[in-house]
Amino acid sequence: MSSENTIIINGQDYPFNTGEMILNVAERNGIFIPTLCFLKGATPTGACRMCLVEVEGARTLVASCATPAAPGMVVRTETARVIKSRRLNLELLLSSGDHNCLVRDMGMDSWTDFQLRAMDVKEHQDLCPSYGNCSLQDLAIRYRVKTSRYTPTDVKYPVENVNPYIVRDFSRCILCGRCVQACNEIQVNNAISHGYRGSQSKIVAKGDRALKDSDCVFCGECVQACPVGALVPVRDFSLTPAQAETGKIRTTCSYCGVGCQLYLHVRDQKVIRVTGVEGVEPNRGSLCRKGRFEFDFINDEGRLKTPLIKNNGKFEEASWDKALCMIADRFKKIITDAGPDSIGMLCSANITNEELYAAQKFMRAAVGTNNIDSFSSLCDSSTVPALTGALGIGAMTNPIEDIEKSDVILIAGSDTTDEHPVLSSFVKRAVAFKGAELIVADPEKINMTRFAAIHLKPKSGTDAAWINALIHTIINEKLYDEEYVSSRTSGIEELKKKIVKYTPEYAESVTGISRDQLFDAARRFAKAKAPSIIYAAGITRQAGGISCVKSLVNLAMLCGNPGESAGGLNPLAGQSNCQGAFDMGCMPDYFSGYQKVADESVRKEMEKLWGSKSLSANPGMRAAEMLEKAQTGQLKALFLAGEILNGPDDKTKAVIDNSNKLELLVVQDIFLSENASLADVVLPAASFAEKDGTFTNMERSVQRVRKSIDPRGDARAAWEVFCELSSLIGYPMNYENAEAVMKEIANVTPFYRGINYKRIENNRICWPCPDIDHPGTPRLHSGKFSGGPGVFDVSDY
Amino acid sequence: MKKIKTVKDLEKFRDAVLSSRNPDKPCITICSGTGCHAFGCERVTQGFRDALEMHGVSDTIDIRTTGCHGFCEKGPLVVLYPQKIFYHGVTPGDTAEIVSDTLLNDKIIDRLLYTDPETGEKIIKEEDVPFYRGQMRLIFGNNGKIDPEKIEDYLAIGGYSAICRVLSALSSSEVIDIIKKSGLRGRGGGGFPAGVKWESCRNAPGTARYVVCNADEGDPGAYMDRSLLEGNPHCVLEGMMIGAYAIGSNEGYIYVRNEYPLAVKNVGIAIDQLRKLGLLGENILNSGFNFDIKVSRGGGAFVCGESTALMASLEGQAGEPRAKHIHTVEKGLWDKPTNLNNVETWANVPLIINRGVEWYTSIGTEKSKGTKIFSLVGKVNNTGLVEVPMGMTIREIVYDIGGGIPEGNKFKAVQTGGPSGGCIPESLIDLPVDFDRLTEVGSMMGSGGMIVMDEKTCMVDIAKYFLNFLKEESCGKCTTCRDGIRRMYEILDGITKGEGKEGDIELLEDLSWVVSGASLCALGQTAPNPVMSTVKYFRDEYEAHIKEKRCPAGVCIALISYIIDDQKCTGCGKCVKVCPRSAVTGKKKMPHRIDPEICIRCGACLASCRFDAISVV
Ligand SMILES: Cc1cc2nc3c(=O)[nH]c(=O)nc-3n(C[C@H](O)[C@H](O)[C@H](O)COP(=O)(O)O)c2cc1C
Ligand code: SF4
Ligand code: SF4
Ligand code: SF4
Ligand code: FES
Repeated sequence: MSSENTIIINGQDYPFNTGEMILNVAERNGIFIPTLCFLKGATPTGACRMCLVEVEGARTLVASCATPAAPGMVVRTETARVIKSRRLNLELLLSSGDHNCLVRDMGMDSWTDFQLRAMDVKEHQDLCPSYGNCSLQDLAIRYRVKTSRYTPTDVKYPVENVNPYIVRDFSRCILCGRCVQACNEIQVNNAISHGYRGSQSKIVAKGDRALKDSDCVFCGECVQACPVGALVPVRDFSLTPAQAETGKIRTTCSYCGVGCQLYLHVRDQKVIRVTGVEGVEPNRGSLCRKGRFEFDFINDEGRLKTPLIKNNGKFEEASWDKALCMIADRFKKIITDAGPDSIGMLCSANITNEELYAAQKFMRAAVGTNNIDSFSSLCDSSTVPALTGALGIGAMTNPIEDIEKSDVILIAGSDTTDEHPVLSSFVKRAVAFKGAELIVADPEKINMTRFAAIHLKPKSGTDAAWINALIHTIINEKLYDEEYVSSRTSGIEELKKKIVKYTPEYAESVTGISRDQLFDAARRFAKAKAPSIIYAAGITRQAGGISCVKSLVNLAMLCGNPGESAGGLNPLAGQSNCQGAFDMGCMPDYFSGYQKVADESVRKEMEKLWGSKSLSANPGMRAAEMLEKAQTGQLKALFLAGEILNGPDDKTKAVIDNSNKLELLVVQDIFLSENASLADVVLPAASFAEKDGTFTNMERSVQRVRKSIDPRGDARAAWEVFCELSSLIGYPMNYENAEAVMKEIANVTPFYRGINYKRIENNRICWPCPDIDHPGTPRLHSGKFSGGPGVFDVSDY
Repeated sequence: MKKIKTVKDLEKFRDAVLSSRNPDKPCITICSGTGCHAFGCERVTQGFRDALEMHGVSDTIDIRTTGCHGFCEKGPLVVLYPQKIFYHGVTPGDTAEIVSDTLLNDKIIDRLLYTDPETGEKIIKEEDVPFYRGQMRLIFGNNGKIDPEKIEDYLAIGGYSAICRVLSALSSSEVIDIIKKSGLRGRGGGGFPAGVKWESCRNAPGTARYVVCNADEGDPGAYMDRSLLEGNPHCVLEGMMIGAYAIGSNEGYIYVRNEYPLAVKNVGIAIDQLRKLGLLGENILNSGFNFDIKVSRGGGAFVCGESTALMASLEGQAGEPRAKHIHTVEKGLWDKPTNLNNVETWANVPLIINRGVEWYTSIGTEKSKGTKIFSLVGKVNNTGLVEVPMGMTIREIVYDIGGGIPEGNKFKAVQTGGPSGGCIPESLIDLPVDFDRLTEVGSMMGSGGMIVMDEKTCMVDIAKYFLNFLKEESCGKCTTCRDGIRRMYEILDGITKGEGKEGDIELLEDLSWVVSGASLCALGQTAPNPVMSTVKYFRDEYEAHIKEKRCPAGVCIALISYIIDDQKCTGCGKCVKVCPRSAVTGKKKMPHRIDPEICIRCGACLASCRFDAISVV
């Protein structure tokens, strides 16, 4: 091995990459070096001095976390000197606060004294809530450290137990600074920092206030980063070690389309804590306030536990058999009387792919209608058609991680820090640490504008105009990527013609954004090497949403970024499985995988695969239409399926009201929501913690949802319900488990063909994944557009 | 002011200054350094002005207010040129007399002269005062010759000729070569070879580079950097200009403590003058060299003087040290190559250029060249700032310059290097003072603090004193420094209170080892010095405290008692009157007694006794 990029650790040669720290090389090779302050993803601070190692020729021991490996460097990680230093260091840390878990060697009297003193602190528990889950404790045991040589330190700062979600117990803080880095360098919330000096040192929030009175957004990143028991979830603060978790199950967050990977920590069939899964995309351990702390709805006593049937305006508990038979009978009758197209189904966008697939299959193959849609089409009915039309695939072009690599980021109609907090941290990091420029277009001064170089403030509903004005400037000043445009797109001449009227002057009069700002934004965007466009409901939900999205597509194609290694065009899906709802064919016009219902050969193929009678070619109704027809009575039966609510406090507005003229409304939900209370039959749904399946996040990655506790009461996953109903109606549908549903999905859906549970056990796979050996496609359109040349399509403002 | 565009312009300007000045014209120089300021030198100056006015000689006699002369304890200091008559402790009331007698009638005023405490001899000339006689005031001496607000004064003593030479005749690598060969080492504490630092900075990849002057000087008791900036800002600026040229930097910063308003003011004035003259800015002296200097005021924590903390603070962030895996010469201020030197280091640079390597290297010891300014304080007769060649022994500094220990007490130790320096015992009094010698004996050069201690100093107490300072000044970021220093302090505190126990010394040694070996920055790495050096040289004193519960120096209140020797006590009752707690009792004319329960160990009785009957045990 060449000594060029090799270091010698404990007598063995190891290669390293330039710039890599000694600690990284050691970890990569399974050599243990203790650390307390080192936080992955943040700049090493070298604060805790635990990771010191001996380096030949160095005057003192060196911090391996902050010392780059150098060619020929000779490192020893466990010499007498190193161990002595670690022990003395640990001794100092352990005696610096109420680390009473390990001071039993103090002799009986003083142990009691010490415990009494520890409990003196207001609201302090006798044992640390992090007992057994504490890096300091682990290291103290490993290095057999006692603290008897020092007198216990007085507690300088009282416990801060006034916040929602988080308790700060300064008596256990070892001032490693990981929380500060987590807050400032990972989440970029800049809520906490080091305060005071010397022995007065303390982690402070905004001039030393309580977290609740600071800029803290309670994402809990700091809690997860804290190696000891100094930052603990409120819930855990009152737990004793005997009430500790009994297991943790990895799953995917059900709140938004980012699809964060998290662990549900459980005990006694209850979720007691949530932590982020570190080191994996898309969230690398980060979570947001909701994902981390708001899981009480799972354990809520008010959950639906049995099916309910309304009798004379009052719900009565019923067995599944009774409820399902009733639904099947009524469905059959309506089919006979009014035809299958008078039945519709709307699925929420946070149930699993398996459930969504089963739903549309049930509607198409058993009921015989294409009246299937999802709630996601209510908030974004523009992206799929606009992007499919121009680029061939209607989804985010790039993986979330690419956002951090972009040099200019344009955010339109997305209150990112609020709606997609974890994704927003990618943007914030790009701006704060990687020199990216942020352009925010939003009528409001949203939080993200704090990071923005330019804030465009369009009058609401005028987005297409400013976007077109940017395009106008870029074309006018020839700032676009000619090579890219000529080789990969069509319709540029058309675009040039149509765009003429969108001068910045004109746009100024329409949008209220000054022309200078528009020029500035256009130039900055055009000069970027890897520009990224992010948009969300603020764009898609407005009246001309589809024109806006088309204009954004044009802007992206002009500057040559879709398909490039960073940047891209990125619609942010609101709910955890919006993407899945589209992918699974919960749309009136597509089967799963965007296979057109109108296409006869596709239908024939489906009939064969499903072994069903002939499938309907009638175009189905969209969600909005179904709801409208429910009012007029043209729709006779409606099935609302899924986990429509996220929790009792986060009610989505009811989609339907009392004045509907439906003969039958069936709602499956986890709570007796507003929708459910109007239903004739209510079915209890299993929450995301209680069922197996998959979600497809906004970046098209298919991720596992895992059952971590039993469903409440008789609650069931929706796919099970559809199977039974289907069989009752006369089209038998049977799957052994969710995995079997995924097998069928893969079988009938070309994009998903290579996906199965085994492959996504630990890592996501982004579709398209056409076969079992395909690694997936995190980045769409590399080299060429999936659907032929990209098409500029101008719609007027 | 007309712009100075070329070297010739500058020389012309200098000639004009010189020709307008008559070296024989009498001049009153009044020290206006911070020390003399405190003594009211401003009123003295006004007094002189009025007196000259009164005698109608304002035109024939000049007045110059200068920077610090170093002998601050004797201020306000006045030197009369051209004879260099040295008066100290001058009050406004003396000024009329000085003008009428000395200046107009050549009559020396005896009472204002300095008296050699050894010989009782009156000394007339500044250079004959023992305090100055032993010094070699290459850098600091000019303070007394110039008015810091007047660039003309600096030019008159040859100022800015070094930059002229550099810009007109030397390439940047030649300059670096000269500095390397001169052996100039950083005066800010570490003693790192300046030329080597410059060279690495020059060679670091990148376009923008910075030169920074460290004028944070947070050591309590040290004030040479501040006095230099106050008294002779131009020599520091000239040094920085030369450095910037050599390194290839166009932007310099002076990081100066906000608590030093006079330094901030004077350096600001000097920079303004340079800008106005075109000596800072674009194309300086028509050489193509562009350079400007900004003054940045530091927030005042001791640790802000540490290089990485200083740069963080300059960037507007919290002044905390950073892990320095990449040297600041490569990635310093705003991640650009940055060369940081101390005030005194910069001030040496013009001197080296002007006088040459050979001359410079003839001063000092093998590995420490030139002079060093020390702040001599403590139990020594003459305190103040002294500049001596490297290699002068402690004895020479303490006895020849410092005039020995007051009240005939015995020298015990000298503490050098600021709060985290070490104590050097009497047995090493003939140690030549230079960077390496000091480190060898467990102390350091640091910023040049020198505190003399006599036999009445308790070494445990001294160590505790410094550790107390350091524990508050640790930035608190790294474990060993934050908690280690605190623990050391607690142990020392315990020992001085009589709570010392078996094992304390060993624990102190362990802690010293880990704090110095594992801390992130030099504050922590050097913080145990006061402890380690006193444990090393005065271990018996520690043991006396711990085992015998006795403070041999009679300082630690908890461990001492005042007793009255009944053989000597005459029963005069003086002590009874001074005792604030009425702890002394006794019948008149009978031996008295001190009640140890009531006594608060203030020592008032001891000081009051005329019969030497009270002692400390
Ligand atoms: C705690 C601490 C305080 C320091 N304070 C100062 C200071 O006040 N002035 C100074 O010049 N150097 C100070 N230093 C040294 C600087 O870090 C740095 O080494 C020096 O400024 C470099 O200049 P030099 O090479 O010319 O000495 C300090 C170092 C430490 C660790
Ligand atoms: S909860 Fe989040 S925002 Fe609040 S301090 Fe912790 S990391 Fe910062
Ligand atoms: S609260 Fe936790 S993470 Fe933050 S500094 Fe203290 S010990 Fe470290
Ligand atoms: S050694 Fe002390 S001053 Fe230096 S970084 Fe550590 S805690 Fe801060
Ligand atoms: S892990 Fe390296 S110093 Fe803390």
